Order: sequence, then C-alpha cells, then structure tokens
Amino acid sequence: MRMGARARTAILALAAAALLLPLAPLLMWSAATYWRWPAAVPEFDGGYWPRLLADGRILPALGNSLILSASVALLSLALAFFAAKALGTRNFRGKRLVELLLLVPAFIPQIAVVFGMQAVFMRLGLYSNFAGLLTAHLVFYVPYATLLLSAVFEGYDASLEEQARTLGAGRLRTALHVTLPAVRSGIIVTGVFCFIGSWSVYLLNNVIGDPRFKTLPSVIFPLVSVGNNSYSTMAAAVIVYILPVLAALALASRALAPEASPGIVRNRGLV
Amino acid sequence: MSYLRLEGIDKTYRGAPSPTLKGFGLSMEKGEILVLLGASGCGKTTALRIVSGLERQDSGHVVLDGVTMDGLNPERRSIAMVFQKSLLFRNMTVAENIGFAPRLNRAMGKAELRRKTGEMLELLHLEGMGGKRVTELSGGQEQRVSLGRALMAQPKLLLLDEPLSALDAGLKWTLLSHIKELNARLGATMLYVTHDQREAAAVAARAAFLHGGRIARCAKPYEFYSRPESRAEAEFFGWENFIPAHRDGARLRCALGDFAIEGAGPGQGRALLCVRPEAAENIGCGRLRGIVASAAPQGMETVYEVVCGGTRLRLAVSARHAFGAGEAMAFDLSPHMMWLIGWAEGGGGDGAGP
Repeated sequence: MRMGARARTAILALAAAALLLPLAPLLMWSAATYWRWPAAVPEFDGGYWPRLLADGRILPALGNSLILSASVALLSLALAFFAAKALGTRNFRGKRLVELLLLVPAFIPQIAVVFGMQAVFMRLGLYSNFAGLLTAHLVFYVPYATLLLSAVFEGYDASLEEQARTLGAGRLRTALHVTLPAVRSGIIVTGVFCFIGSWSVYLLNNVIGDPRFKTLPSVIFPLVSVGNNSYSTMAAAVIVYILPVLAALALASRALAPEASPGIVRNRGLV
Repeated sequence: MSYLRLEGIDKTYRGAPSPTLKGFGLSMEKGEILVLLGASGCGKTTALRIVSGLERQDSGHVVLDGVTMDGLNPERRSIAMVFQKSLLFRNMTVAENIGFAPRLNRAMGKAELRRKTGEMLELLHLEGMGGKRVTELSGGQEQRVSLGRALMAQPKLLLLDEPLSALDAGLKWTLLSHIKELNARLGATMLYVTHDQREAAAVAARAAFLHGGRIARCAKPYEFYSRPESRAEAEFFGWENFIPAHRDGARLRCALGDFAIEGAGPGQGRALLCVRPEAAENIGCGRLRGIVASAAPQGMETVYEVVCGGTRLRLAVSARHAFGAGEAMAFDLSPHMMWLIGWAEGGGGDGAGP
C-alpha cells in the first residue's frame, strides 16, 4: 500500500522535530545569560553572542575550518576516486591486503602518530600552516574516502562505460555523463562524511595547525571545557560549531533527493 | 567485397590455457542479419568485443566498409552494441537514453532530435513513454530502449550480444520480430550472438557456427538442424545419438541394422550415424526392438533411454505412450531425422553431405 502524502509529511515533520528540538534549549541558552528555575524561558539579553562575534578569533577560525574541511572533502574524493573504482570493480591479487591497509588509519588512534607527524612536518615546512594541516588530514581521510567509495563502486556496473563507448562517447564524456551520475549519491555522501570528519578533528589541528593556523575546534573547545561554567558561552560556541555541519547535511539530502537525479544531465547541458 | 570482414583473428586471454579465438574469420554483407552461434564459452562474446573495439585481438584484422578498424577506440568505430543486460543510464529518462548518441555527437538539432526520438519510440512500440524513468520499465521495454538507443547512433554495424537471453519466452519472440522489423525498415547491418538455435532460426537467414575458436561453418539455420557437418555441430543443434557405422554411399550398416540415408552423397568406410531424439516413430509396432532403461517425463513427451542392439539411444516419445523401466519398446527411426557424418574421434569430422 502506498503511503499517503499527509502521512509522509507527518513522519518527516516528526523526524525533523526529533532532530531539531534538542537544539532549542541550546538556542535559548545562547541568547540568555541567566535561566533560573522556575522560569519556562530564560531572560533573553543576547547572551554570549555579542562577545562571541566581537571575539577576533572565532570568525577567522570558522573561515579556516570551512576552507580546510571543504578542501579535505574535495581532495579526498579526487585522490580516492580511481583507487576506489579499481577496488570496487576489479578483482586482483592482494586486494584484501590493500583493503586492510586502508583500514589502518581508521583504527590507529591519532594520538599514536600525531607527534611523530609533527616532527616530520616541521622538517618539511608543513608545520602550523594550511598546507601542513591539509596534508595531515588527507593522511586520514583519503583512505577513509577510498573505503567508502569502493563500497559504492561495488554496486556499480562498469559495463555502463563500455555501453557508452560503443555509442560514441570518449573516456572523458563517459566519465562525465555516465560514471559520475551513476555514483553521484555515493560521492556526495562520502564528501559529506569527509567534511564532517575533518570538521570535528581537534588533536591534529592543535598539534599540527596551531599556533599559526587556528581552526574552529582549537578556539571553541576551550570555551566548552569543564572549567567554563557559563551555559550561554557553551551554547553559542556549540551552535557556531554545528551549524556548518547541519548545512552540509541539508545540502547533501537535497542533492540526494530521488527527483534530483534525472534532471542533472539536462541541467549540465547534455540534453 | 564484403561489408564486414574479420580476418585471421587470434585472441588468448592472459592465464588462459588455450586461445579463445584462433584464425577466426567471418564476412557479411550490408543490411544483413548474421547470427553467430556456439556453445557457452566458445568465444562468441569475445569476437563481438573485438569487433566493437572493447577488446584487442592478438593478431588479425577487422575491416568494416573498406576501413581497417584495428587500433581504433570503440567510440571511433561507428559500431554500436546491445548487451545481454539493457545497461540503460538510470539518471536519464527513456527519451534521454534513446537520444544519448546524437546528443553527444551534436549530430542533430533539438527539434530534429525530438522528432527522431519520437519516431524511434514509435518503431519500438513505446509511444508516450519518452518521459518515463527507466526504472519504471519492464525487462522487455528496457531491452527495446537499449536497441533503440543503439540504432539512434546510426552505426555502420550493430552488434547484439544475446540481447534476449534474460527475457521470458513469449517476450523473446515478440522482440525477435521487432528486431527483424527494424532490420527491414532501417536496413541496419546486424551481427547477432546467441546460444539458442531456435532464436537463430527465427531471426536470421544465415548463421555461423563457432567452434574451437574459429567459424566451423556458415549456412542457413535449417541446414544446421538437418545436415550437420561435424559431431560438435550436431550436438549443438540437438542431435543426441551417435552410432558408429559403416557406409557405402547412402546405405549404411550399424548396430541397429541397415539403413538408407536420404540425401547422403557418395562415400565409403567408417562413419557416424546421427539420430535426433525425436526420430522415434511407429511406437509399439516398429521393426526395431529395445529395452527401456529409464524414462524422464517432460510434459507432452517422455525422453526414454532405450538399449537397442547393444546401443543406448535417447528417444523423445509422445506422452500418449507409457513405458516403464525394463519394458520392451518397438519403434522405427524416421529417415528424415538421421544423418551421416565422417568418422572422427573426439568430435569434429568431415562433412558427408551431398
């Protein structure tokens, strides 16, 4: 039996409420310095926001984090794409070993390698700058993206490319019009996962990026540490921290909507 | 000069113990449908992939319309291919799939593309379905779209690699008639691969039998059924009984007795008598006597294993007659369903036809 439009809307609304309602107290706390019992709502006085926006470290760190995480997502996808395709669509001797090696960065705690990386990066001129931190992130996220994308390619029929070529499409056109649209959802999901993962990294940013290349976690985490008992400060900091993640998820879910796929070819000028 | 010429093609896959194709050669004329037949794994698909450029031959040549294709990438050959799976592009609608090749090559303007796509949909009996997502199509509709998409590329040659093998029987015969119709109306040259002899007989006037990496014979499909030239060919086309015999022209002597073979040419010496399972007639009153070893009911008929004159025969008999294991069966063998081939050990033999 097909689900009615109203029932579908109701379920979506419930899901959205379950996701967003826990954020309501955060929003309220961020705009109020005091919220004492038995008041149902706090006394809104702007809370920590004016100070947070005036803090000269937050916005540059936000910008750095956005650029870093977006770069990590895009470069991880680009570097992982062909390896993931080979892993997902071909069988070769040593394939299991390669897959196992790709899991190593995910299983070894960052703390075990980060100080060694710091020493090497210092010698290579990659310490405390964008290029260095980007490289450090890629060490972890290229294997991660390769593993995720290879799972996507396992469900991909490479004969589609042969079909396109016998219809007159060269390698580039085949990649643009056949391969990429076929694995588009997997690429978006992998990119979002890499973005969110990179966005949440603290230790690596602190050891490799600090002090000259500050990212949001390095600036925000001290504000939400145990010693800080201002809920207003913590709430504002957390909101700044999670908003880009929510935005990335929203963009991804929009791009993943089923009705978005057939038109993509037309929108790209193929039709 | 032939429109398509395949000359001395050899292909051995890395790690394979023997070549898949060895001295493979074939020719066909413009506008023709030729069926490439052979058992599973005999190299039919490899041959098509070499013609399309998806696979490179170790040696030999592919010449289409006077132009050597060797070394050309698939997209530059003007040879389209329809695969066993429909391989439709899921991110496109039916019309977008059909118009894929002309859009890529900018071969026609938007209005002309729309008109041609509409015409193709009509030809394929898919009117009004252009805007549908391909995931909404049935298996038969998908394969028709795949066929239309390939024809819209206006290829010099269309390769069809067992395009109907995944479809149920009723749909298969409908689509076969569509393929013939498209061939007749568009004059498309088609090389059609199948392992189904009945499909071959339905779609093409000429068939080529691939065995041992090369074309063993090129003939009308009916000739393969009625007058095989080798044991491999006979087995492929449903001959199941092979009895050593001694021939003298059209007369022969074997463990079953003496027979006259219609149409057999001159020749003497050892030969192999081929008997089709459906050759049994005059059940219960024939001059041959056998003992039923086993019976396998198959709907309208039962396949018996009958020991006769020390020879074990597989005979398909109407289900009206019922014999149990150990019972005696009297029968005759229809001379129309017997044929002689040259004596050969391990398959293959010289043709003994007139």
